[in-house]
Amino acid sequence: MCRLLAVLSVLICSAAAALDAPNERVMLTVDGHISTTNSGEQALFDRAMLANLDWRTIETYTSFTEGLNRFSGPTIASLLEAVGAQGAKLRAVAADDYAVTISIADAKKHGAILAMEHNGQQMGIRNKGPIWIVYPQSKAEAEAHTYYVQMIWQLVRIEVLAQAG
Amino acid sequence: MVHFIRENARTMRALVAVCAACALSILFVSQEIGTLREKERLVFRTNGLIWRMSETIFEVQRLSSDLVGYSEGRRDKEEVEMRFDILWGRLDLVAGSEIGKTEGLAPVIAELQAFLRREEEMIYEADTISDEEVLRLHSILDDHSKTARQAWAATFAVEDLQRQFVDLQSGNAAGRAADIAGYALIALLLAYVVSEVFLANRAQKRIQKLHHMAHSANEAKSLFLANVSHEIRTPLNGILGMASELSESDLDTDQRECITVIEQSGELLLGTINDVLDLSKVEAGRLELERAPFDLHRVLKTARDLHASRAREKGLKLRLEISDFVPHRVVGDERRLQQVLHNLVANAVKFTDKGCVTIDALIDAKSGEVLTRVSDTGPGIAPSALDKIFDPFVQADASVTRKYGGTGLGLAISSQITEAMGGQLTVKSDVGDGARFEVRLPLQRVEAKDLKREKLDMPETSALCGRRILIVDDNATNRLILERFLAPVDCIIYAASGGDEAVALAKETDFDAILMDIQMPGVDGVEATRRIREAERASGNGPVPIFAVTANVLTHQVTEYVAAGIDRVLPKPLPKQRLLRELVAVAKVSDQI
Repeated sequence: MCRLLAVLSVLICSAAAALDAPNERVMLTVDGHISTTNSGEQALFDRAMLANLDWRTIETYTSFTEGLNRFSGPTIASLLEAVGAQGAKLRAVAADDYAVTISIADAKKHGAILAMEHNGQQMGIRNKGPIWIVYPQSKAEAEAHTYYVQMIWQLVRIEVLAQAG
Repeated sequence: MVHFIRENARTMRALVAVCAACALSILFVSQEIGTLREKERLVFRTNGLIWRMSETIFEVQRLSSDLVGYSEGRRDKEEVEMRFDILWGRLDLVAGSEIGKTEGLAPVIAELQAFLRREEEMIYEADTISDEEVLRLHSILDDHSKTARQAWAATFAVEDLQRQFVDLQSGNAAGRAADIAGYALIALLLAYVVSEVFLANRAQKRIQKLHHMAHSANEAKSLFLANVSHEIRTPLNGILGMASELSESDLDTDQRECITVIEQSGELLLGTINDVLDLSKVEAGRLELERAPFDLHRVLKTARDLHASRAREKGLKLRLEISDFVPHRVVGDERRLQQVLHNLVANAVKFTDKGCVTIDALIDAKSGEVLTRVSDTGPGIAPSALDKIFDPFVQADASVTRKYGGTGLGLAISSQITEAMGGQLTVKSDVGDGARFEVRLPLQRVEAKDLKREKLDMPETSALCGRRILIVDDNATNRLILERFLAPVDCIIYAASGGDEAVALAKETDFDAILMDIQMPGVDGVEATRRIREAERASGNGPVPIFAVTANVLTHQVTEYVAAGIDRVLPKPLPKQRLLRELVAVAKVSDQI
């Protein structure tokens, strides 16, 4: 069974290997331990490419906003699948060079998304855009700052770190 | 329920106190945890604020340096625009946070935001930014950066942080409620401690009072006993004295038997009164023992002789065995030892119906103490009763009282007297096996020359011939008894029925002896003696020997008599022999003078 899964995943990886080059302005750069690239060692994504991933809309509380907020964007899981990520952690880097390390398993488990729309509006850099990693969470979790650190905004780059790292 | 609470008040109070202490600890711990959480939150928030502020200042500088980079061709316009947007976002964040609303920082943030809005069009709309514009923006941004930093320093000084901590600790209402609860619990605990101390003090006082009451009750009892025994002794004196006189007159057999019964009953009553008085003395710690040399063998023989006739009547053998090692002459209280032995022998004879009663005396080889044992072949004493028979008013069995009579005081007194003499009275017995009482006494032996021999027989009364003797007593019977005792002696008898009369007579007549009753209405014996002694001092006549003849012979009373000038105290009921012996002794002394 395990072997079958491994074969399947290899198949999926090789199938996704054909990652198109971005046509518009690059919004996100993914590098590190990935198997699918479209620009040297990196996988570059424009808005359309990101929109084609597993796009979700979630309603959640956050530590940075008031009340329930609606966020839309591809799941981190679908992005990592698209690039054939082989690692345990992500290093997420913001436009202002702020960076955090995120557990891939944790992000997948909680269904974290790369939010690109906030309450139906595209987010600009001025409003934590263009990409904000959002974890769905309850009001209590939001108040307890459960995902305070992981929820990096103005995201521009993701580096997939190896298992050990 | 109320009864239960009252019964267990002390336990309940302690329980309440324990509960209060527990609540206090829980409150304290929860408050500590709360404060710790609040502190964590404050530190977290402060960290966030510091971070945001420093990031903002950093972004201002970054925008400034990117602008310069742009004019130098190192940065493209998109990058500058991105920096501009990032700063915009940053400022929005800071403006929305607590720190952006502080007095010092709010205007700085507002100015920066206004600056961005002013320049927005220029940055985005134009294709290029001229060098002059870059220079102008650069210098404005530098100024803003400096101002922001100064305001930042002023606002976020250390004192401010401390103030926030203080606010945190005193601020919240829940904390204040917890404080009040804490004080209330502490007050409750203190109240408990104070009330315990107060109540303990009250209880102690109550115990003291009870103790005092018990003590005075005991005193009252002793006094009562002393008085009652006096009241009984006086008429008894009359009965015994008259019976004694009657028995010396010519009587037929019936009459003699009646007199014998009267005498025996009187003696018995006297013995009981003496027992009661002795016990009250012992219990009041007033039993005083003489220390004088006496003949131990004689005491033992007397104990046998006194009960020999009774034993013979019952068909019992009464044996006395004295070991050769038992000394003749010892020091101690002869009368008290006799009392103990008489009691034991009398009991043995009383309770034994057949067989023998044995008195044997020997020396304990180990301790050197004198052991006197009184063994009988009577019914014995049940083990359950053994440890009680030395308690006052207790006999082995209630039926004993009916069958044999007695007050149950004898053994109690004997035991206490023995203990007072430094010894021990023990008993070994079983039902049907007889009883053996053992008196263990540390008696010191003395040399023969210390021992005075006393005659027990009727004294030679010729010395009293022609002497003047005054009898003072308010009770005619008592006067009559003394007069009759002295009748066979050729002395001249005067009588006075009160203290006044006695003093008057003593002034007129030169007496050889005065027999003075103490308890009399008006001038009592003590006062009369005092006046007689005063008169003697005034007239220069020699002191007349005054004998107190009284039932009041407690030690402190005797002391009082002697202080008043009484020479000898003769306890009532007074046997004829004793009276004559005393008078003869005085007469002989006065003859020598």
